[in-house]
Amino acid sequence: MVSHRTISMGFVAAMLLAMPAAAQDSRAAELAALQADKATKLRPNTESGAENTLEWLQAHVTDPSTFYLRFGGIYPSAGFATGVGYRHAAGQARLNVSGAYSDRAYKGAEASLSFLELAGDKLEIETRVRWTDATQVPFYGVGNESTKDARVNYGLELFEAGALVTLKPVPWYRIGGGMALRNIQDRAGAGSRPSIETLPTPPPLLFSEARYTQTQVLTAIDWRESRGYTRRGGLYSIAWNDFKDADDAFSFYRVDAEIQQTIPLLKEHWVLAFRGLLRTTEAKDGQIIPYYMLPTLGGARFHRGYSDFRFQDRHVMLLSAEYRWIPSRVVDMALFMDTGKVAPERGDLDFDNLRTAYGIGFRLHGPNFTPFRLDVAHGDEGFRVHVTGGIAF
Amino acid sequence: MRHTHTTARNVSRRHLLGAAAALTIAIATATVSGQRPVFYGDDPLARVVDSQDASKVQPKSVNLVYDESRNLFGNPGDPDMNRRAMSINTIDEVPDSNWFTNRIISTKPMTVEEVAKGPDTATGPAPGKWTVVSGKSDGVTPGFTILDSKGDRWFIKFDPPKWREMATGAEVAVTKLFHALGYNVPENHIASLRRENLAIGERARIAAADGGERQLSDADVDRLLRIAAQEADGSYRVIASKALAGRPVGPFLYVDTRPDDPNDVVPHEHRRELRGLRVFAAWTNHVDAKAINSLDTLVTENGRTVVRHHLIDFGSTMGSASIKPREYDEGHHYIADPRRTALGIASLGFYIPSFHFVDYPDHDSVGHFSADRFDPPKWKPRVPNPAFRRARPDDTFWAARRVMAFTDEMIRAAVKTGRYSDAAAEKHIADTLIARRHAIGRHWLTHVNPVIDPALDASGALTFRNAAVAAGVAKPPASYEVAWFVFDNATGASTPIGQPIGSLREGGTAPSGLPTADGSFVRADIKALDAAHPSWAAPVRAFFRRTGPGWKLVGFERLAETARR
Repeated sequence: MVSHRTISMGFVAAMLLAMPAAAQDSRAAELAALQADKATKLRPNTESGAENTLEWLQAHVTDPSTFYLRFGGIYPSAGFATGVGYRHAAGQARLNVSGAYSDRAYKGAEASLSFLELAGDKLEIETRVRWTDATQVPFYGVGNESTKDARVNYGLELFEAGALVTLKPVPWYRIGGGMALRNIQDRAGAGSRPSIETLPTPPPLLFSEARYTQTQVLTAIDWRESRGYTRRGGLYSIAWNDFKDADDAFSFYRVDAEIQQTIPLLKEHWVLAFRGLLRTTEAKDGQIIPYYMLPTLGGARFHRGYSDFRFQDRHVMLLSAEYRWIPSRVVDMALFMDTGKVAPERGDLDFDNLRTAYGIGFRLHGPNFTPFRLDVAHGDEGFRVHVTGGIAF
Repeated sequence: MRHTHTTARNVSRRHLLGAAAALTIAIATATVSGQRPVFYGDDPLARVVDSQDASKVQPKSVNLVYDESRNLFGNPGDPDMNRRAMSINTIDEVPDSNWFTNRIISTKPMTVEEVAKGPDTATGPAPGKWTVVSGKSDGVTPGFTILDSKGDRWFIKFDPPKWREMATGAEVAVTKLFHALGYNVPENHIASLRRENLAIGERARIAAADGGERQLSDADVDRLLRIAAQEADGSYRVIASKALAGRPVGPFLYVDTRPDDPNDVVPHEHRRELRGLRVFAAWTNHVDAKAINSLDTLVTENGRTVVRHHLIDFGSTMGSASIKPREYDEGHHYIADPRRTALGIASLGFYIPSFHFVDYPDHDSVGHFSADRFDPPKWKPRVPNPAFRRARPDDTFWAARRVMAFTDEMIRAAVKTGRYSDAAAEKHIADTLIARRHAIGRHWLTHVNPVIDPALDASGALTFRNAAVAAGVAKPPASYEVAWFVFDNATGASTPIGQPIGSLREGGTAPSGLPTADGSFVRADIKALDAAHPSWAAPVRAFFRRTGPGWKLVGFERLAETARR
């Protein structure tokens, strides 16, 4: 029977329990009494502690002008790196200064100044200064048949300063060019592996400084949805680089070509993705390409069956395919295959003796970024686990 | 300090809901002492008046990530997920208020023209020079704010270039529907903008790259227009949304009350008009029904400052996600669905959710909007909504009646205001809304005893209607059965009058012996008996008060406390 009471305005009855028992003679009066009671108990409508904390974190990630924590990005093989940075935006200009240190004692510092969306979003100018000190970069020898056990380490100190100008006459096409100065000095490696100079036949001109003037020209058709995540579109790019050594000892040319194609199926439930990548170099007359500048195969982006720098030679070919499926809006899964080889001659880039690995990947992503990627690959050297951010391709 | 506030909020919530839980005991005590009757003389209330001055309410924004995260990974609000709505009057209806105005079902039903007119007071921004006073370059939908040649303030947004008319059409058409449904909504118009008609205000501002503000420039306007769909004649089709009356004080949450508003006394998750929004959102595929798509304003009403609550931003409804068509899974799953995700991962992609097979038309201005595989109870917003989660069958029934009150002509008229240049697209949208309306009626009008509009005349003739039958979504039940009681308004006690009386039609005759004294009460429990609808056997309860020569309906309960789902 008393349940009939709930047919009256529930909130009125409930709140009246907390109020003096002054009887009201109408529903409207009851409601007014309830509101009058609340008027005596008003509180400021302020953010909760959790909301404030999240605001702070968001500002840390998204504010164009702020100090921030930096993770990774020093150099492949650096291990876990952390650091701090400061970014500042003013008009079209973006300044970014940061430094980081890794658990393998790699050190890095860089500053960049970019001008985005110039000329009606048709022009970008990027300038950068970077210093890197890498203590234990792996070297397995040159060639497709190098062995895992042959690893030695070397140290590397790089300083580079350069600028790149990119013209985008239409959103899907860009062409650009740039110039950079690079000083590179190799040295004995640290870590648990032997240092490179202990090799029976060390690379030529070991521990010599190279002082490059790098000139680059690039062009690309890029109709992916974004560079950070895409389910459709393609990238067809080529870049030509001239590395001129001031001492005419290490000068060479390098061409990087890449094709990516992403094909959605069944309303993007499945996505097929393919990549072909070619890096080819050519030493200038009478000069050599230093071992640390040879194109490499291996790592989370360049053959997941192997570690960074696992294979090196003058020419590299990599073919990748992924079958992706989309279990949720923010999760992608992938079965993938990477296959490729390195070769001393361009003509050796055929389909014989390919190094192949298969694997499965788990990725968390947003509409145009991929903050987390876990790829587990199995190749002829066992399993490799890559925990990183950014797309595989 | 923060801790203090949080604690105070928790205590307040516990106090309110604990009090509600103790209702039965406390009111029994009150009634024994005769302090409060079950029904007052002014029941049922037709309008809730905000009696207190709310001028001290301060603007407060809502952090989108925080709001969505706690709704996605938590369940904020009253832990009782089956509590009866608290914003209803004694006859189970939502009275008019600063939240809601009964329109499509009211004492004065709307005409087709009124539905199409919606909240409009003008035909859009006044022609002539429009002065840009601020720009919005970030967010999902960039745009700017203008003052038209009459000095009225409008917010201007665009269609994405690849999907002309999609977002603007959805915004206007759905605004009309939500206005008719009863909500406070802004006045939205399709308008034509030409670059040469824009002037930059002297103090026009835009967010600067460093996080601050700076003077808006011609280049900024050009940059904003570059990402807008442009017509062949160089103009831009835009949505012009008139600034709401009053001072904006931020969005409302779908949970709790606003602590600085004295008139906001019902936890929002228990407001029927917000619970029922689940049905309206399903109908229009409004997956983005979240706090930041609402806005409270301070307005003056009868000389008192009060808060008016609005729904805004309908550009992300139907097939539109504002800047692109809606994602295929939207409306079918929450953005994070652990079960589906786990199943999807484990199946290597061979578990294919049904939404992948939904058939969409090939109209750029429609986006992804279809009635194909639309299953109303399974429809989901992008992120769980605390009010939607607590919607009971009596809430969804209430909302479904409003959806079903739209005639085909009303729907077509509302869609026409979206001014789609492609007649086939316009037809598809209207047809889809009509088909989704039927699906909503089929489910939510039949899910609970659908008896409505009980009336008892002086001769003892009881009449009522069956909403599901009237809407053509169910066959008449085999029979009805009415049990009669004398009801004591002071104690809440009911005393049976004879045996329940069966009837093959919608109505019946009360037994002899009904009280005749003015101010006496009777209760009629009405069942619909049909094997196809077992839930109809749970009776609705109607309460009548003797008023002079006749009887007035003063109480109605669709889900009796013992008959909840």
